[in-house]
Amino acid sequence: MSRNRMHRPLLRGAALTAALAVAVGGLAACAPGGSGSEPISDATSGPVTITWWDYYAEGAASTQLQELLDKYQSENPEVTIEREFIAYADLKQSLLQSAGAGSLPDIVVINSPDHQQFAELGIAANLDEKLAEWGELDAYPDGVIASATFEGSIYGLPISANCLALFYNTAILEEAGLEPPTTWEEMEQVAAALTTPERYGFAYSAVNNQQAVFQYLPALWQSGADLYDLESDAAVASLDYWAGLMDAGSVSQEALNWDQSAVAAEFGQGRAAMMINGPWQLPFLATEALDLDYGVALLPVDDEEASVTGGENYMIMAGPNEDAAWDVLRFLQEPENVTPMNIAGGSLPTRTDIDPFPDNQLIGIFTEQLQVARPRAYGPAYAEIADHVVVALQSRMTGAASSKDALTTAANAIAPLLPQ
Amino acid sequence: MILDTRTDPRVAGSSPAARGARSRRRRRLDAFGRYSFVLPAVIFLIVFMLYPLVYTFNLSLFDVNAGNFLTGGAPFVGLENYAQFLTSPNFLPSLIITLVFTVGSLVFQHSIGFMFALFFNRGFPLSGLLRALMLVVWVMPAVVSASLWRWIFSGSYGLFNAFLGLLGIPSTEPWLVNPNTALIAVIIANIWVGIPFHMMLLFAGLQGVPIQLYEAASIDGASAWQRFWRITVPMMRPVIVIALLLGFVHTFKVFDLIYVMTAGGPAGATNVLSIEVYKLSFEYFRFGDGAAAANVLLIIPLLLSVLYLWLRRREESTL
Repeated sequence: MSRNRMHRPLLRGAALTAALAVAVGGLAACAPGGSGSEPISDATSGPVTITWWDYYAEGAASTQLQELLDKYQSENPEVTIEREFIAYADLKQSLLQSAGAGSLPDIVVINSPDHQQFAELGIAANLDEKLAEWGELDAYPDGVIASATFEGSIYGLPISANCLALFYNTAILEEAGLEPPTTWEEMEQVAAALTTPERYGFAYSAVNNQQAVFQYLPALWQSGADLYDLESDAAVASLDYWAGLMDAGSVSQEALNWDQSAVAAEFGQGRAAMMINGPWQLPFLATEALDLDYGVALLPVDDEEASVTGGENYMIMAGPNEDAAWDVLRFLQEPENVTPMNIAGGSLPTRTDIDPFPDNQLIGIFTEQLQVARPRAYGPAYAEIADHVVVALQSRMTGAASSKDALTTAANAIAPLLPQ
Repeated sequence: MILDTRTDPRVAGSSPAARGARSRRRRRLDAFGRYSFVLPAVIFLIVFMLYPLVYTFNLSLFDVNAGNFLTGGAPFVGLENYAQFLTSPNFLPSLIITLVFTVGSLVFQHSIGFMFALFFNRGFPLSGLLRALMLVVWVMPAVVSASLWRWIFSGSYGLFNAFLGLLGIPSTEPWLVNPNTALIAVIIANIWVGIPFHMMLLFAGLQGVPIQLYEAASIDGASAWQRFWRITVPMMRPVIVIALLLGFVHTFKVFDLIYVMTAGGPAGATNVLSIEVYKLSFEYFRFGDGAAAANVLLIIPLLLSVLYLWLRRREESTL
């Protein structure tokens, strides 16, 4: 009987995969090899194997995470953690396939705006009871917890938190005798003044995915508008400002193909004098751009101050290992383990009761910026909403549509997707 | 068949009635033996072709989304998903882009492939090795080719712009970022990928054209141009048709090359149907809509496949 029950979801997962593979032609690669074996035992007795998925490439964060997991395993010899790398681009698809096949991993590192979507699928474990028993939820900023909350219940805890601010190349600004811009008007002037044939004054990402929206949202909010009123004059002004930097030649047209790492690479190599980016680029710049002399400033302001928060969460998947996974998560959330993880990942403090970066000026500015940063709390359909906004951004930037037309199209498309 | 001669009643030499019963049993066993050879293929087709097709069709009739995908209980909506997809603002532009991409790729893949096939058919030293090398392009994973072409068409560091610079046309145009050139750039990349496929098929076909025809035509004073249009093309017609049909079917659903190069951008300029299907199912979790869109994507190549099978049968019957 139990065999039959296992069988049906397995077939369903295989069929969904195969069906789309037939139609789309080889795009649906096999789900990454899960361990397959699902230990029946619970956390309190017998050996447990926890399957862990994350998309961390080799680097400080990945190494630090492994150290912590090793430490947990040596303290808890009955627990084995099998860590698997899943490319970020494949994560959603892999999770869906493994959910269909009934062999979910136990803990997954997930980009915070995607968290609600998986909570809606019903495959993430509801942590309300465990968190109540644990009693440390007060140590977390509301905005961070909001991204892991769906319909009033909490489905995960943060691994990193961040927000966007303005990076500037100190040497270039000093040479030009300029200060980091504080208003949109100054931004336009400074970016234009810093642009030379060899470099652009400013860089942002307008790539064809959510990252472009992440980078544009602060400008939208600074104008006083929001995704709910994209047709307002303020929203139109914000897009005119953002795309106008490209019109003026202060931002490269290639921003349409740059993700945020590419933006950091441009800045790191001195081909952009300023950029909008997050603190997770600090470890990258520290290792890859040793000679770079740079600073961080608050984002320029229009009607309001605003930035956007992002980050990643640990998500525990519903299943027989929930309790064991929760024990691992609780270990990772102990202040002495959060601190090195925050440092390695270039994250702002994910707990209010720790200070991983005493006297770090750059992080200090990000922490200040965080006070006016807002989450992307636009419900489980955010992925689709973001796609419509990207089309609006790119239409305007490539001259295919005016700001007003591009935003009107997007506003109509996202109206039924936004939460009421 | 060896089996048949051994069970021949004349050899067995027993009473007619017993012979009849035994041979009937034999025949049944024979039939079983024969079907057992077909069985693995049938099972394969049912599990990997038929079941997914039926499943996708079934899925497309229900409003399956993130909320009810795993828990079940999605409401039956009939053909509403299809109606919704066909009337969505993305459908018509996507269909046009897909057709432009397919036809644009195919015309050049085929004609350039034909030229290569003719060239290699002349047989020169190392032509076998060169032909094998050309296949590398076809074998290379699409993600690798796509990353390569992404770099070639990038603005400041792109190879294509450097090449234009050598010709005295300085350019920093980011080809994949401009909606007017992105589709052309993606088509060029796909042409490059598809040339070896057409070349190999056509080369094989050329080998089958009797050399005497050319010799006779030469004696009659036919020019090279005439020999090509009057002998090569008519003799190669079946191969040409099959190469074009197969090419159409797999170009129509190209996904990975475009997804890596532009992800459907900029501003939807390269948003082919396959990318639309992917987004609906795997990014928005609208599985019912995604399945309906996948079926629409399937139907056009399917019709062509039917046409192909029909042509093949006609070709076989004329042999």
